[in-house]
Amino acid sequence: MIRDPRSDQFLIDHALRRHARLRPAHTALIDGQRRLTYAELDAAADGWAALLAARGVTRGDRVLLVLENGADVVAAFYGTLRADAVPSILNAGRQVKRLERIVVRAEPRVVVTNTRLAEAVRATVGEKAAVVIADDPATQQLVAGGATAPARRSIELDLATICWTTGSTGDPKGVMLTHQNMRNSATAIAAYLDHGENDVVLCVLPLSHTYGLFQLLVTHWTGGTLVLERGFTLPFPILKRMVELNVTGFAGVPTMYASILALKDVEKLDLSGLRYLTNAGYALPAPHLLRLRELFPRARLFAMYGQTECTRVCYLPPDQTMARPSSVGISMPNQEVWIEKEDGSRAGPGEVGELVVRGPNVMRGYWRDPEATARALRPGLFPGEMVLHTGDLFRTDEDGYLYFVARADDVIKTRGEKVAPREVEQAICGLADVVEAAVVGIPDPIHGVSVKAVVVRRSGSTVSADDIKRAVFAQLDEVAVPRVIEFVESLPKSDGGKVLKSELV
Amino acid sequence: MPASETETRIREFVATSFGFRGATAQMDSQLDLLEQGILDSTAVLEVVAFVEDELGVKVADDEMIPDNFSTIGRMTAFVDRKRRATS
Repeated sequence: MIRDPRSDQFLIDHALRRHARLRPAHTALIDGQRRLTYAELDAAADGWAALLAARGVTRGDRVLLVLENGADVVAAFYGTLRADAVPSILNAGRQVKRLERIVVRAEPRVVVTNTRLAEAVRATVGEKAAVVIADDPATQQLVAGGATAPARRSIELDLATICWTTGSTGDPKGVMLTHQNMRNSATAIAAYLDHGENDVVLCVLPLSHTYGLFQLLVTHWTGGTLVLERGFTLPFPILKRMVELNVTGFAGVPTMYASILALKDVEKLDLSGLRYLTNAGYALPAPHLLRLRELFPRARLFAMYGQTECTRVCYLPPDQTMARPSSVGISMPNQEVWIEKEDGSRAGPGEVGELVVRGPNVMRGYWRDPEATARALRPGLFPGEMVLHTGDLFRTDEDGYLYFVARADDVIKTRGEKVAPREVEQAICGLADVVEAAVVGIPDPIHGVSVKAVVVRRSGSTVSADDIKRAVFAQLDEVAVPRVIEFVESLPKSDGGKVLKSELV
Repeated sequence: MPASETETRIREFVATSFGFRGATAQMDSQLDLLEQGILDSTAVLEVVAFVEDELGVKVADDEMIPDNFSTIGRMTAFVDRKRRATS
């Protein structure tokens, strides 16, 4: 069939092509000393598409990008889309431990990584997929070779990413987002942040999460400049970079803001170009909120809430920050939300229920998991449409502003990451001399929620808190390592033998 | 050369606080703790607090850089340098 080439305009990667035509010399990306204009990034994306097509990648194939933040992952992401394939960016630090399970589920055609991780990735992937090394000189030469991308067949309903998150069992869950989903989220976020081509956004967040990925997509959708950093360990070099590049927008999580606030002389830095700050993952403690307002009087501060399943849900308009510091605000544009009580009726002000999201940003479902998909996506207002049941409990105030209350399942959200208690308990119980363990989330001023483990040891055992931390870290993510470990004689249980976790908090 | 008392104390602090991430008392003083993920942003703040409170050396904002905090060797050199400058 003949495809109208104007279909391209509906695809998320079209942003590059559009701005490469409008302002080819405008900087699209800054990665350390490396700067790419829109024309250069657009050409690199075509180069990647040609390279992947030559490796046999066709429409709908999965391509895993196990790379740190940088120009390579961005070009390979857009290039995968231009090959009509489905990219997943995996965190080069944390998700390497999960890579095997993701490879089994995703069945990728190609895994792209770098020299540093090549050995570990090859050992995991084996014969299951081709491995391409992004920073290999031969790859770089092919990508820069001015290749023409293969002819497109995608329309906006094709998948544009599978984002891998953690489910309640600890198994990886692949959230499928289409071009339509991502274009709508990017447009809506750009609208409330009032984003434009003069914006310079500094992104320290991993692109493996939608919070990080949408720093990239929103910035490029509106023709701005993205500054990508590997991460955020030391606050001062990041702030210096913000001054040097006259950054206008910064996205952070509360631990990052806590680091910035621990500096002594932030006032001395000229950050007057900073137009906005965003916070997501979990709420900022009120004293930090106040201090940030003092430090950056010209920056608008947006508290936000989102879920991978629909990218972003709501934001607190900056003029409401002081009046409602614990609220996550109102629905973003072109999306409708409501709170549903257990009996299916809508909750009134102050009543707690599950947050339901209706909009073109709602995911297509979980990759090859119809049961989990059916639990999350349920019939909506009109025949045939599906709405997202978030599994997050919310309430509103009298004026309709939204407040996060808790997760409906026992998944712990700590430092913006999901941790499945069952998985941590299994890791701890893998230690000889541990009889049983229960893992719960406890309130923490900086991390929102902290992981706490309550452990029963065999009598006379010398298993220490450090042994437990090591065991969890060896198998899972850093965020899953309990910050608090308590040893007890026995766990409180119901008559049915179920651990009463509420008594452990 | 035997490790100085400062180095021993810093090493001990890092090993006890962040041992589960792979830090040990025998760790190479040139191992890059930031690159290895042994220190994250919260951990660096704890190290800075240790250097200030326990070793008595004030750390200015612009001294919180990888050159001073990426390895145990660099932390030790930084503390020694600051002590010499103030003595």
